[in-house]
Amino acid sequence: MKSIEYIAAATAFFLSCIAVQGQIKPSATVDSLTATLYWSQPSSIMSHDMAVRNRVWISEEMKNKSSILGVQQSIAKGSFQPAQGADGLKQTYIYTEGKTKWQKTDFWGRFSYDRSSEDSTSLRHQSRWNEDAPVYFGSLKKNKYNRETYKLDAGIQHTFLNNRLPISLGIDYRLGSHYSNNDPRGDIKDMNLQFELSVGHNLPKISYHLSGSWGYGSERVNVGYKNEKYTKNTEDPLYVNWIMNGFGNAREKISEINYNDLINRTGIGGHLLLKPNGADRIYLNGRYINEKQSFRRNDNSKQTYSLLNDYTKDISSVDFLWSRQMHNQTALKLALTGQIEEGKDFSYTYLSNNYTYQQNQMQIKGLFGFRQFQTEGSIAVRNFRKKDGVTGNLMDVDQIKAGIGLNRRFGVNERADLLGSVHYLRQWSPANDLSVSDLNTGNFARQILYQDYLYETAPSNTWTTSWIWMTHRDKTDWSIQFQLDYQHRGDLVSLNYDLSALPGKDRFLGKLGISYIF
Amino acid sequence: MKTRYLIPLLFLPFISCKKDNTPGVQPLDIKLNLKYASAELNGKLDLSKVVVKVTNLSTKTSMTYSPTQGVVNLVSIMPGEYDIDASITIPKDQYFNSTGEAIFEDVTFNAAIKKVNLTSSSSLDLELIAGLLGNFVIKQIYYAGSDNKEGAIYRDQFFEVYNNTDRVLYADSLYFGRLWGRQRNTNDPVHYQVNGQLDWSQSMGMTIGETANTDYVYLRDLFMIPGNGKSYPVEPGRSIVIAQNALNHKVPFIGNNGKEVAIKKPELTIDLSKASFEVHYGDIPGNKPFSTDIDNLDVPNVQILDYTGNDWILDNLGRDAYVIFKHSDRAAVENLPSYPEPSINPPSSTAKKYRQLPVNWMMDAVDVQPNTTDDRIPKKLPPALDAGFTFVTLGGYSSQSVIRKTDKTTNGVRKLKDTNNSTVDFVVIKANPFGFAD
Repeated sequence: MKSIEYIAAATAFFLSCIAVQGQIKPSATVDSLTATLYWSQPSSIMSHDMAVRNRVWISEEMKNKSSILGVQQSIAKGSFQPAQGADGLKQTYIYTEGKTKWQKTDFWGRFSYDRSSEDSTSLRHQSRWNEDAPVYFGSLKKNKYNRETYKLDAGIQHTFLNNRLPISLGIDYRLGSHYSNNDPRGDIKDMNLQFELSVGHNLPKISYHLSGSWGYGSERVNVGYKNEKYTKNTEDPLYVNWIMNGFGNAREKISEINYNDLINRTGIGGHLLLKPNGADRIYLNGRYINEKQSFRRNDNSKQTYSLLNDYTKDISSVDFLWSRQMHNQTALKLALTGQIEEGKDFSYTYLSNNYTYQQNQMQIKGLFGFRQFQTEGSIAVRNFRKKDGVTGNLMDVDQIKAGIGLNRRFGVNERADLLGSVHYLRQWSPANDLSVSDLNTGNFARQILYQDYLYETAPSNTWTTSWIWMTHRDKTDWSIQFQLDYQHRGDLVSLNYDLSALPGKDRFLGKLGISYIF
Repeated sequence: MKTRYLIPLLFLPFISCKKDNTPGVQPLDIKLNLKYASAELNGKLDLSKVVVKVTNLSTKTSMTYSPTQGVVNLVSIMPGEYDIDASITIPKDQYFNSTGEAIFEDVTFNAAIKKVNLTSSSSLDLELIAGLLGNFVIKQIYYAGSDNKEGAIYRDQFFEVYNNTDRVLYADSLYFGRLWGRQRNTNDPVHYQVNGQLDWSQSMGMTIGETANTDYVYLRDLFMIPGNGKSYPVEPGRSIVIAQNALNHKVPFIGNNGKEVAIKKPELTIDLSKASFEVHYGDIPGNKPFSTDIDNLDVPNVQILDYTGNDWILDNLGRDAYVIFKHSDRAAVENLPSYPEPSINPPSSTAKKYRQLPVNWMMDAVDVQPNTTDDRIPKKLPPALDAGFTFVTLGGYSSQSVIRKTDKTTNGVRKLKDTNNSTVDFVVIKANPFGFAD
């Protein structure tokens, strides 16, 4: 971990001390960007995404009176995946987003529908948005999973007292349905609703907001068998259902395979914007969320359910963005995002805390734009640690990702442009540790732990190219997007255990989309 | 101060924050102390070659250990339920050299603790007991039956006994039966021992105290092979099959009520028309047998001392234990006392009573269990008779049986494996009367 500290600190000092060339000019507002550049250009996407994560800034970094309607089709193939990943994926994504202002109120909204089909998924019945939770069902049998997710995200901000007192409300709503069609058949329904209310104060060179958030959600999981014989015996290990309750702490469960996970969240946040001059904008956002999950199974007892596990997680995050607009179409952006998660369970089997989870991650991304060129560099550091008390299982992994990219806008003709980019990302694990108990961990759990360890510690290179053809007309525009990713891993660490499946050598992702901007 | 020089401070929480979050609960350390149950053997017979197998019933993983000075230390094992088995086979020559006592065969010592719930670091004692070496052994038990829609349901069950010696034995006066004990894990108003089994010492009329549990077992039914002593010879390496119904179950037959009993999938069941004996309840005074309890006049019926229900239907979920013994004095068997279940409330006058059988009468015994861990019940047999248990992997109505493995073949005669541990001695096959595992 020492090497990571030095790399991160050195990068930070270097970036913070860059002497930027060019004259500073007063910051162009986001409204002055053309619609197609706003929705496609990496630098504006960076600011847009920061505002989506922190809705108090929708009036600052989201283009007014611009909307987009799009559809995207993705295909992914390749078995370089974690144990519970899918070797193949087909995804259709339909979305619409827009922002407008009416009198003194800014409105922003995004609705999306995602339909995906996963091939060769096994070892966990899940919704894929609660991956560190200690309780889940799974089996060795590879299955096909279908998922449908609806998401509605919105932000509203109204300013009072002559623009000095902004009050903002952010809403996130998600509804998901996930199911497999062959034994063991999983059926998962998930729901999540989150509100964030903020009160701020605008001054000429500084704006600040304080926010409070509240949310709740649930996951309802059922596993069943069409063929009764699998509920009467454990002869075929592929079809045996296991319940995981911790980290590598699993036992067989072939009947009454269901649980409900009730989730509650509360949090606070602070948001700060500094405008020391006309060209610089410095955003600093911090947030703390406390999340409580209660896993329970319905039964015939007096209280109608039995408790399995209570899982509590503290999530602290920071979101920093510094952008500087200069003359000669030159721009500089520096973003830093970081998050610390700490989870602990209370297992009703042992009447004590058994599972602990910790994840620290940080990414720095810098982007420098000059005329039709934009270059970017990023470095990300991640450490995660999972430990199970009664089995003694432990996984502790450090990861570094470093990437560089180049974007260029080509003029096709008077009314169309082509935006091309190439990107390279290198990932490796400088330090890692795995401890798995042979007697305490069955084959099902060992497959997950060992395969995940191999995946997370494998070095890899990812090459990405994306191309966007876009019009620039008076009122409405079109764009067509195409992206290809190819990831190839290096050697796996050696293990003294025979796994039924290893992370594959590579993974390929292709995306094709079309969008209408109005 | 320029704002940008504060940027590095944002890194600090993420670089330095790596707390050591130790979970509140830790794995256990368990100490296993091994010794021979017969005190005089300790110090004479070696313990270092005892194989101790520890099976985690949740994860289904097993590990084997060798003791050091009679002790096995299990380090960092998770709380939960375990089966702990210990076994050693001592060749007869080594046994003679160590003890001065001559024996005819190699002797196997077993110790077992089944479904023990380990919740804290502790010590457990394992006492190695020599197994009984029988003449006749239980060879195959087909209790599961065949498919309940397309097979013969339970009608085709059978029980097979084998001559495991090199001399002719006679099946005359061979007794066989099933034991009674705790049949489910829910708590009924009954006295239980610490190991979860019924506490027979609390049965009404019992006067012998704790030996009621250690020196005796309790029969739910009991049958005897008839004969004058030499009527039914069984050659070495041969067996007798006792059928519930000695019929060819692969073809339809006419029941006692005149109606045809059909079979949809003959391949799921077997032909028992050539069985050695059958169990027929038709001659029991006052008892109305099932319409499917046909008396095959070509197959001798066993004699019935104790019975239950309207037919000899073995528990197809695997909750019975099976015993065989021989006794020359029929009156002594008939005079064995019977006791009701050790219920908390006084039993009714019509409550069933279970014949008390001395453990030292038994020739062979097998403990059968349900195929899923959650449904397992306390063992009925002490370790000296059966240190383990066996079960069909596909469960009830599966057409599977449990059968003893072949140990060796000498001069064309098979010797079946008999270490008095059915976990080790038995395997699962598709039911095959008179057949073998290999």
